[in-house]
Amino acid sequence: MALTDILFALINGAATGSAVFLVAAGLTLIFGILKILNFAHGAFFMIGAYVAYSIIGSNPSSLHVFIAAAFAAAAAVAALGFVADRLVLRRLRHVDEAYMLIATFAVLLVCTGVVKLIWGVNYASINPPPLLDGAVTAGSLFVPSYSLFVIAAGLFVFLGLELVIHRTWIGKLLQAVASDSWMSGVLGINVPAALTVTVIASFALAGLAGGLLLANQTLSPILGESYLLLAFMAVIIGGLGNVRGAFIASLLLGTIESGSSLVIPNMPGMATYIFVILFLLAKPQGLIGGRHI
Amino acid sequence: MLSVDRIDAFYGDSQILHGVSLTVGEKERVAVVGRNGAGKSTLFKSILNAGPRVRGRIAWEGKDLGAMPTFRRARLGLSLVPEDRRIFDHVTVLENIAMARYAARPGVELEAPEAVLARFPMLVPLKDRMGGRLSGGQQQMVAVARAIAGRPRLMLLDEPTEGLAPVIVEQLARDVNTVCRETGSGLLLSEQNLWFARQCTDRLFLIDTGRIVFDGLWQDLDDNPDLKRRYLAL
Ligand SMILES: Nc1ncnc2c1ncn2[C@@H]1O[C@H](COP(=O)(O)OP(=O)(O)O)[C@@H](O)[C@H]1O
Ligand SMILES: [Mg+2]
Repeated sequence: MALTDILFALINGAATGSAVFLVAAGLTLIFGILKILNFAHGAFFMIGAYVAYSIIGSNPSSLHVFIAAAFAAAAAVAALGFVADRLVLRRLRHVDEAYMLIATFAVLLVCTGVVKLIWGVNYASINPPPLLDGAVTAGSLFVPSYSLFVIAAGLFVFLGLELVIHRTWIGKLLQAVASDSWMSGVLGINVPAALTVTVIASFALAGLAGGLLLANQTLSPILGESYLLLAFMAVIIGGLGNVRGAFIASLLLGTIESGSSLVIPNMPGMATYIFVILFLLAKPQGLIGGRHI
Repeated sequence: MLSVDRIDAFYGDSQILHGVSLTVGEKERVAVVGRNGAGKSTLFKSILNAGPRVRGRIAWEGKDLGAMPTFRRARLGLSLVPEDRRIFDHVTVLENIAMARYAARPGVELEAPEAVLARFPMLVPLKDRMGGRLSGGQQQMVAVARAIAGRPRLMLLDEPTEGLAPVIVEQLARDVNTVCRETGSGLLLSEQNLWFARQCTDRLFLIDTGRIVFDGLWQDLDDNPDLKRRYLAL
């Protein structure tokens, strides 16, 4: 195993991890504040991807257009988040968690059905935009530019969330609601509105991830499932609802995925599952447990 | 101003309050005393619609509050300081106080958080301390400061002296009195510490197993030593 192989595996792991984090970000946010495990998250990620695809087609004309389409997807999915909150989530805030799980699963099925109706069941593949369709080479190391873009996007979303959550007043308010929604209400904070804002932000992140990760994918109605499992594992290992924890966990899982494909290429995913099981046995509360997002 | 009319309150199927009635007038200071488990906290939470299921009428300025959610009641000027204080640990003392700004009533100018803090001499040096790093007495002071920061018309203070050292209890009595006088807030105080309750209020309700068993002036209580024996185990 040469040094370049290891370097390549690390960069590849960071890219996979960043992609996982982009999906996990909204998932962990909604869990941290509403304590909802949103099964439908993957479906909204997929809808984001389809919306962006409808805008840019299979061959995006430029990087700008590619990124703008991702933000348009974020806005469209955020609007769907508002609708889902009104129709489903808001009504289930005061009932047992099990109903919420079933409800989000139902939303997932509905969304998958709607995607098939609108965009059909055929596969589509999308090329990266110019500038990202090549590779960066250093000696014998060969890294696709799109991987570097995904790493940058993951970092951008992570730092943005950290900044909003820990440095802005709205973030501190959301943390107050996350850690003690009862006291927040007693202090006159409009808790239902804060929860709605969170749902919209979480869905926007799903849509954004769909748009940003669109290239080099086969777009089909099962896209939602591919990242969702890893994203769920990242949220659990991260400490259920903690953004920083989810980021570290995503990078860890990405690196394990990529490293194990180098070492045991014929058993994809195996090392990841073993890692997750051992990790949870050793540290069931996750990397960063507690009440904070 | 506040009128609670024959309310029953429930946790699940168990009934905690039985036909409780009380009124508090504008700027009035009233105590609710009773043993552990008598239903004081349940009564306060019922008034804010913050936990128990309530049957009966709770009115504010003559209007039935019905099913109005907690945060809207807070915005009418009802400010609850829970017995477990619940200071946010992820923000500073000053930011904890700033969190109360959402309880402001329309058209009412709030004091800056620094000015609120200045009313509590003990808190001034702790302004930038994180909420999670306070002693019990400091937490209680912050909780009162936070409650008063929204300029309430009635502060509901639930067993503030529980677990506090005697000197802190004295300091708290002085601060609560001053703050109520200066801001014009009324006070509904739940206590087991009769000395403290007497310092801060003019009259009292005695509550036992979810029922009001006596109401009157402190003097009236002194005239009935038997009440104290029966309901306060003194
Ligand atoms: N969340 C709850 N669920 C069920 N029962 C409760 C709950 N909170 C209090 N109780 C019960 O209600 C009764 C009154 O409690 P509480 O109002 O806290 O009394 P106090 O504040 O006077 O000590 C007690 O018997 C207590 O066990
Ligand atoms: Mg109590």
